Amino acid sequence: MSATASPLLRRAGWLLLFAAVALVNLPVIFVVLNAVKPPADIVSNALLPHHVTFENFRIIERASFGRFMLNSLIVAGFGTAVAVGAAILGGYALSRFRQRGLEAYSRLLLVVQMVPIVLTLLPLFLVLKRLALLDTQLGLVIVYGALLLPFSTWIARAFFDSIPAELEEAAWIDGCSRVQTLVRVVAPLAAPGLVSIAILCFITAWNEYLLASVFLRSQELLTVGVGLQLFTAQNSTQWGPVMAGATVAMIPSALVYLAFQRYFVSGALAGAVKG
Amino acid sequence: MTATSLARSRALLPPRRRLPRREQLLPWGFIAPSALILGLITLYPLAYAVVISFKHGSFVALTGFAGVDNYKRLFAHGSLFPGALRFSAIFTFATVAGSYAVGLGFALAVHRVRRGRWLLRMGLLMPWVIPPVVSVVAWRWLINDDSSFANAALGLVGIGPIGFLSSPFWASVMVVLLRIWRTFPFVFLTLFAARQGVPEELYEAAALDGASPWEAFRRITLPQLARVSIVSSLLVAIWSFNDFESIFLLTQGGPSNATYNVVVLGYYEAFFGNDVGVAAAMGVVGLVLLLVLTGVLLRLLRRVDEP
Repeated sequence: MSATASPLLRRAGWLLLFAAVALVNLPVIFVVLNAVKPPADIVSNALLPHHVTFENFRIIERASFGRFMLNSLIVAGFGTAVAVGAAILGGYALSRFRQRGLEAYSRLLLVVQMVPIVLTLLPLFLVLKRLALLDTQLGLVIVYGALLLPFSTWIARAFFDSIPAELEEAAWIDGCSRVQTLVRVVAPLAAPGLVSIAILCFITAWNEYLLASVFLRSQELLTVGVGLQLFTAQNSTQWGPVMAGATVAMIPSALVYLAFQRYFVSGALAGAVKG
Repeated sequence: MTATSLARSRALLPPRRRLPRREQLLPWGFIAPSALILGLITLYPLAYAVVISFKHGSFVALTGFAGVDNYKRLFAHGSLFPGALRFSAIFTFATVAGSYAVGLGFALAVHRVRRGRWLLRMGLLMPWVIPPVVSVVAWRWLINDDSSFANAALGLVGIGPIGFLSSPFWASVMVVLLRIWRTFPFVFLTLFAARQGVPEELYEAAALDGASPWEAFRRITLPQLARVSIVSSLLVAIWSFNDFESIFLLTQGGPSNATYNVVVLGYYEAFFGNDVGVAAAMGVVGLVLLLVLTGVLLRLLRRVDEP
């Protein structure tokens, strides 16, 4: 489609692009469609349900998916809080101070992101066991905090860098301490950036599977990803309920993303440019 | 922050005077909470894993010093590790190349669209946003067996059922495709943003000089996107090399061990094998390779930044 292309060609290209995006989303669309299909329609590969049923959702409700959702909300929410809190402090220090060693610390954050989780899994298991945090939500919250910290700190630093230091200096003259200026002046100015970080953290933590599957064992503590995986393994032929579970599991990530798209995008880009 | 911009910001700061002790310690106070969490949850376990890789025994009772024995065993006859290493390399390379091609294509196409652009962007990021467990459930339903949706659709055009998850070749292709599907949105997003930052005057000047669209793409678009391309490819490479979910949830490393990567094999060895030292050694080799790859790509990035 060059600038000289005919309007007809342009329109065709436009439609083709929308079709391609729909095709990319086909797996997601089928999850939702299959969730409301009666079993016979799934077996016969019918594209659209003959009639919409919510029976599948009742089955997963009985499989305690409500509990799983609540658990995910707890660990993802508090994990995000830990990461954002630590990232505000750490990002501020990296942005405003020039002490020796700070640059090395920020480089360490980059290297830490490369460490395969699987490598630290076993020793971490021992650490959590010793601290009596194995199979507790608090343990997973701290682990998620550590997982989310490096990129949160990088992004926070990028956002703080864009806030002029003069604004802070004015507050110091008024007698505010460093911590007070951070809380009253800098953090509110960086609020959109901090929201971006929180959104990225929440979605990442909500979606996380491996750590949750290793560190939480009790049925009543499972997160929705692990619960869905177990349910799928036990009911591999019952596609309807499995799809209903999948639909429920992706709703929070998808909703948070749709509601805060702008923040999500700016956070992801800030992370990529800095990284 | 690059070295030059750091030097510049240093030059802008007022002349250095000795800060009072309190001021000097302050940044470390700010960093303390993150350092504590990182130290406990990431760095200590990492160091401990390296130690374990030189020992024998189970992780409840590590027995003795093993020297480089565990590393030798990785490459001993009958070990699955060389195959996993090879698959990790293929998987990472194919994912980076595939995600880049698809991401760039969509970035350039969406850039030309005016109406409905937000809808396209919204749709294109979806696969990246949803939980991997859901992605795998969705894909498994499409390609599960001979009567699955993909095979039914292929049957309509006369192509016999394909064992997407039962043939080693097709299963490898499927985990790669799943991974590309999950990561290309990120590449699309970064390249789309970068493409919007390229000044249109460059293209207008090229058009005046009689450059073809292909020439404009080669001489303007690609060089202008070079930096972002390298950075996002580096991130995709790191994520793909360390990817556990796509493979573990779709194929569990099978069929016939064809889709084990270093991470999934290390997981099985650690939790279901009989020597944690070997599992730790696998992870250490993986980390070293990743550091080398990153070093190479960062050097490439510096070369792009220089002129």
